[in-house]
Amino acid sequence: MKNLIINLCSFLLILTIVITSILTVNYLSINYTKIIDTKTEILFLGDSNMECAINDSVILKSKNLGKSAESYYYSYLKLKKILESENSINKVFLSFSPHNIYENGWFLNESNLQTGIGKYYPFMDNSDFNFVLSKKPKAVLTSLPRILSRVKDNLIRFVVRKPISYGGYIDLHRNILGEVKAKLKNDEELPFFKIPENHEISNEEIIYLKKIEQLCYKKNVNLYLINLPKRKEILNYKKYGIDNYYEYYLSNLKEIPLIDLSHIEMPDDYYGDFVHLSSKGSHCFSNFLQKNGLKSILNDFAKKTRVRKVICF
Amino acid sequence: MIFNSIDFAIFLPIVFIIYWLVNKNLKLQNIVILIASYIFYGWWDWKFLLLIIFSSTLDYTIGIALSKNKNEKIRKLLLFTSITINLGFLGFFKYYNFFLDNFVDAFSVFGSRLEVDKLNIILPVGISFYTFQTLSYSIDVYKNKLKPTNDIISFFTFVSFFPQLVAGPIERASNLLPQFYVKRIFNYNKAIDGLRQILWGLFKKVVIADNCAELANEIFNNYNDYNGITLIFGAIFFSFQIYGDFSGYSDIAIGTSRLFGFNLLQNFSYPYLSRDISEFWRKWHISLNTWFKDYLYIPLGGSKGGNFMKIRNVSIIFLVSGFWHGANWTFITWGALNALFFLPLILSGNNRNNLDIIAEDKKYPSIREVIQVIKTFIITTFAWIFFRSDNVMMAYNYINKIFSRSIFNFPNFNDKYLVLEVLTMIMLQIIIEWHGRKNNHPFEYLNEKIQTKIFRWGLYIIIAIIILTFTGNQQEFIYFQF
Repeated sequence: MKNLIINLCSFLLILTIVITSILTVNYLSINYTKIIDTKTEILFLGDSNMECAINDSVILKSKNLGKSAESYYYSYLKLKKILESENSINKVFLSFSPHNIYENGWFLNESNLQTGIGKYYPFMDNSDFNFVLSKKPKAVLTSLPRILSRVKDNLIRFVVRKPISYGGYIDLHRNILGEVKAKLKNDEELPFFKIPENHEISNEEIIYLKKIEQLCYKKNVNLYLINLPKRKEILNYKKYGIDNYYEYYLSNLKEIPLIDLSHIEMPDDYYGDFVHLSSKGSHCFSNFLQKNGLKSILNDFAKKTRVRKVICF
Repeated sequence: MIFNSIDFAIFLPIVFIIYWLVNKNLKLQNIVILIASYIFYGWWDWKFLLLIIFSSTLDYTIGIALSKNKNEKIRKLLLFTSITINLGFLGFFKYYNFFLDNFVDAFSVFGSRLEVDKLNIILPVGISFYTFQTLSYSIDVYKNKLKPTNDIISFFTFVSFFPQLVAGPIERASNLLPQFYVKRIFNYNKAIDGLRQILWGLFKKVVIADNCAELANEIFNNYNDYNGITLIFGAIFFSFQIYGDFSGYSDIAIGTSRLFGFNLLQNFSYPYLSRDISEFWRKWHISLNTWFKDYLYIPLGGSKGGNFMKIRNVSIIFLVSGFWHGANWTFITWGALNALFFLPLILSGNNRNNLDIIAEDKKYPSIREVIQVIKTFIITTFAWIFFRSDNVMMAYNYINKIFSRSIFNFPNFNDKYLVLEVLTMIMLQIIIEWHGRKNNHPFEYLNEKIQTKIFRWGLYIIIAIIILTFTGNQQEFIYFQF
């Protein structure tokens, strides 16, 4: 019995050492890899709104790292990693919509959390790690398989020379506006977008939004919150909570500039659904931003204009 | 509590330590196992405990009553009571809604629609397994093949023994019960081999079964979106899913039992290396098939008598076996198909070929053996399509789509990387099992073959890391639903 316990403990110890070595090698290799080009000056971060709206090949010296259902926690980790080594970034646009600040489950969903830890643990410092540990200790402590799975994926990517993706523009070929209009009318669940169940503010999202603000301030980077184009049907839908969102912004976050382009009117086929621009829509929108050089947007912001009409040919 | 969970990883060492701390006292050893088994089973739902305790009490009492009564009529009545009540519970929990639905459908043929309330019945986990286990006790005591026990703790522990309670192997009272009468002495080699078997079981369950399940589920649930060749892969993935899932569980169960000094029956013996369907059925779910053979097939007359008797008995066994798996016509069809594959062999007297181990004295199989193995795999996989499908119509449509022109197209998988990974792991499993085919489990062979400890441990560490890495979407053990 004593021999069994000794051998078992020895085996587990060796296994732990091997796994720790694997994670360390992965950690170092990720940390020594650049996420973006050194010539990038404008960074777009956030969720699928951003992912589908901004075609960064159209906007000069920009990079879109938006990712579907991305919590501000991960946006912060990415930004922190990028600003550590890139001095060229001078503007960060972060998608900021009602569903970003209400309880959306993006951070606290256990499966998402474990996947996120697997991908982003090399970017975490002690405070970031302790934050997730305090919120979901069981999920964190059982995330080893997800981390190892991510390491395996990274190894495969290394072999096939495919870079790790931290988000990016998606050329969305979706056209379900008719379908979602009908579903919204019947108060049904919408595909590809979850309307917040309540308007309870997510503490976790706000904490990390503020951390993004502090980080940008520290690194002398201008941060802009951006409410990207959405259909009026969802903006006028009570459950979406646009009024509470403006109220919260004005009471708690107004020191961070908000560029509200949500009310831009575009043709129906520019939208994939209520909140995501289609390929045509994102091309038009991105060209609009590029043509106007973003400057006038920021000037208009200074005038606090909320509604603009955009016509694209 | 499932085997590949944190809960079980904490539960097992605690029970193991307490069990061996009290090993000087036989009664305490059995009590520890009994309590641990009830905790394990009650983890799903404490209400399930009521049924298993009732079933244990019933057959314990009947066993004693059988030993005290010499009157044949009374003994038959006692046996009949045991069988009726045990199968009655099984029938109610498992088949009530199935029979109700079919009764309603049959009635609708006459143009009437019966309005009936279906009961929301939760199937107690493992009921199919422990019911057969206790029945084997009653039947063997009745036939005087086994002395009934007065030791209530031993009997209750035999019925509820946690490693094999919820998904087998279905133990015979004559094999497992006597092991509770003697003190278990710790045996290092047995325990360490048990750990190796657990490791191999986890590999089959976590790496093979769970990942094949992801692919098989995607393909079967959306079979209209895939071409014929992809559907073939879907069926192959399901074949490996069910094998990895079930035999993996059995390996973990047997390995765990060995940690506590118990020997359970082997439940799988590399069935996908079978050269004909008869060999396959000697190697697949051995505990269930031998149970049906001993308690149903042989009493019916077995293979004695004319062709009609052989056809009747074989058909009954396979249909009942199909029905045991679940309340759906797909399982019955699966059973019927296997009966159809088996019958030519038994009618021609070729069902006892291939009793040896494939390529026993050789390193590699012959071309003939390879063809035989592939043929057997094809027909069993064909039958698995019915097993996996939601209904018979879906299975028919699935097969129809396979045999369309699209069978010549290139596979159109959604996740090609996952397919490549899974196929690589399946190849690894086949290679390891091929080399270990003469042993109870392949790591037994590796332990004999690799003399240097550092290389052996290196291999086990690699397997452990693969298990951790490929812990994908955790899937429930398929056989829990039976």
